Order: sequence, then C-alpha cells, then structure tokens
Amino acid sequence: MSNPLLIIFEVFVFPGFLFLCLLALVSQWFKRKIIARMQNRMGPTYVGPIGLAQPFADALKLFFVKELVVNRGILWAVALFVATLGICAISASTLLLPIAPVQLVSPYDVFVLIYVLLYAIFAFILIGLMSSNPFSAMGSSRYMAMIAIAEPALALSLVASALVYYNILPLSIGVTLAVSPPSLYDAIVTIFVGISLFIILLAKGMLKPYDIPEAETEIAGGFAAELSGPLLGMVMLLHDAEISFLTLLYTFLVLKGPYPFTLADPAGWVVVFAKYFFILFMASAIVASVGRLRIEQALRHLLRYSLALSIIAFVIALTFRYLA
Amino acid sequence: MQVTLDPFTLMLVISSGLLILACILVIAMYLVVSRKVRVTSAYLCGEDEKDFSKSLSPGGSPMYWGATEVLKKCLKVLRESIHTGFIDDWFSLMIPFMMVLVMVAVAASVIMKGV
Repeated sequence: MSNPLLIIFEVFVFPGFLFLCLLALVSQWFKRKIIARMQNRMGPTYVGPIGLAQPFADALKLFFVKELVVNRGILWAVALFVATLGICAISASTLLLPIAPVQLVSPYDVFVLIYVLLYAIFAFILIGLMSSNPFSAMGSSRYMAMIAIAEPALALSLVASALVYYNILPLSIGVTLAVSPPSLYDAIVTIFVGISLFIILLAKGMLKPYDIPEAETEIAGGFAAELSGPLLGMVMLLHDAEISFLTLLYTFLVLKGPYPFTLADPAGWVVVFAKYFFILFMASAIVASVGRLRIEQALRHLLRYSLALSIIAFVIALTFRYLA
Repeated sequence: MQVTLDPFTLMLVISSGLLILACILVIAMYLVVSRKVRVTSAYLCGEDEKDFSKSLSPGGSPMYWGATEVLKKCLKVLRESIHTGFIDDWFSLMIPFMMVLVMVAVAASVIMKGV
C-alpha cells in the first residue's frame, strides 16, 4: 500500500476534511448569492470581498459562542460526536475520488462508499430524535421517509454506473469516476443516472422542493430546532459538506470530471470546478424557483423520477453486462 | 495515481482515517468550546411544554381516523355491499366467506391428522 502518512494527509487536508470544509463554505456562499440574486436580494455582502467570508464568519461565531445553550433533553456530547463522525465519514470517502493525489480503489468499493455515506444520514436522524422537541422528531421522521427512497436510488445509481466498467475492476466506483472518455454504453446509462442523481442531490441536501425535514416556517427548523452554538455549526458544516461531496460525485460520475482534459493538466482542474459550480448553480436556481413539496408529494416525486430511473439504469447496465 | 487494494483493506483504511480524524476533531472541539452552559426547555413556538407533551403519543381517535383513511376503498366496498338494509345482501357476502373458512378448517384438520 502507499505511504500511510500520505493517506493521513489526504483524509485531513486534501481532498479530505480541510478541503471539503473550504469547498462546503465557498459553495454555501455561492448558493446563497445565486438564490439571493434570483430573488432580487443582495445576498452576503458584509464580510470579506463580495461577502465571500460570510459563511466562515458564521461558522466561527457558532463554534466560539460564550455560552452553550443546550436543550434539556438532548445528549449534547453524543450529538456533537455523531455530527463529527458524519463529517469525518464524508472526508474519508473523498479518498475514492479521482482528485485525491493517491486514489484508493478496490473491487466492490461501491459498497464501501454507500456504507460510509450512511454515517451522515444516521447523524441527521439521531440528532433530531435525541431532542425532546416534537418538531425535531417530526423533522427526523420526514427525513427518514425521504431517505428510505433516496438512499436505495443512490445505491442503485452508483451500482449501475459501476457495472459499466465491470471488466476493468468489478463494481469499482473509483475506477468508474476516473474513466474518460465515456463509452456509448456509459452515456446511455448516465442519462438515467444523471437525472436520478440530481434529484437525490436535492433530496439528500434538503434543498427545495425537498427541504421538508427542516421546514423553517412549518416545523420551526425540524431536526435542527433545538440546535445552537458548536453543535449547530457542526450540523450545518455536515449539511454543506454532504452537498459538496454529492456535487463532486455528480461532476465525476455524470459530467465525467475533467473531460476533455485530464487532471494532470491544469485545464482539467478548471473544467472540474466549472462543472462543479454549474451543478451548484442549477440546484440553486431550482431552490429559488420552486416551493416546498408536502411529504407525500416529495415521496411520490422521488419514487417516480429518482428510484424508477435508477432501476431503469440498473436494468440497462445489467443487460449490457450480460450481453457483452 | 490509482492504488488498487482489496475491499477489506480499503474498508480498514477508510474506517481508520474516519475514526482518527473524528477523535482529533472531538478533542479539539472540547478544548475550544465554552464551559458555560445554560439548559433550556424545548422551543415550541410559545406553547407550553406540558400541553405539548400530552399529545406526543397518538390517541385513539387519530388512529381510528388514520385506519379509516387507509382502508377507505375497502370500507366503501363493504359498506355498499353489506350495509344496504337488506339481510340478503349480508348473507350473499358472508356465505362464500363462511364457505372458505369451513374449507380451510376441513383442510387444516385433514393435514393435522396426517401429521
């Protein structure tokens, strides 16, 4: 295996924790700015040039509050550990992305990725259920209902994509993310995976129209109703880090990362970030344009336009695999 | 650069990285966060916590309403076929049902005898 120190550097710095936090906060600023512009507002302007440092200031303010305000029912230390574990899981899973200096791949690593991403989901669910507030419990139950459809859809999409390059390495998402240019067979599967994954990105990121678990005007912030200070900061960071990771995954899986360049070429990195911010722009445009769905509408949407398309992609990939 | 591992080693590497990072972050958090703590009751948009906690578990009537909502179509069929005011309608639905039950009972007794 490669140098263990390099692996630790990757988990801690690039493309792990520090890079992911930086990307998450910059993405939060970008999202807020785009949504504000579309709603005829200014967005963040006060801290840093064009308000770029506003998410950093918000995070610092939450982490260094003078007094912790804790809900009577919540196990504060456990909740903080769970949220931290969620961020660390996402940071560690960046080792599978092609942007890592040493990208780790293995046969069947798609299941490793699916498993590691579950940490973040359990963090959101547990933190909501830990609180004595019924709004938090309701937010968590709504999140669980959405995840019950979104997560199988994500798993099927990833497995379908990994099936395409089964002959290189069996069910390896790392290899699938790094392959370029795409084959025709890949392109057919990717059309279905692309639509499904984009909806999953909105649902798992709790972005409109799927922001039902944290509906502020309806259930007072849902699972985050009782959170404040460092715990709220950690949960917000986890939320943004998950969105950033899924967007990066989308960039490589659907838009083929640096294609037509490679990551060895600086132009490849420019293309990757251009694609990343394009996806974020599209997500922000949807957030600014649509209203919130009711839970049963959201579940129906996810079933029809995400899970169904993932199943189609999986069946196509499986058929091609056995015909080949 | 791509390094190919076996799935177990990959799982081990990712889990170890995750845990080491989590431990360091949690320790760092405990060092920097404030020691001053204020405990509050649940935020319920101005409602009293006691009033709210009474309705935390569902009562009988919402459960009944939920069940009738779920079984609406089934109940409609039953109501229209049985609840007509004529006893013949009731018998015409119940006799086939009873026949099925008798057949199941006979079959069960034959099978049990065999055992």
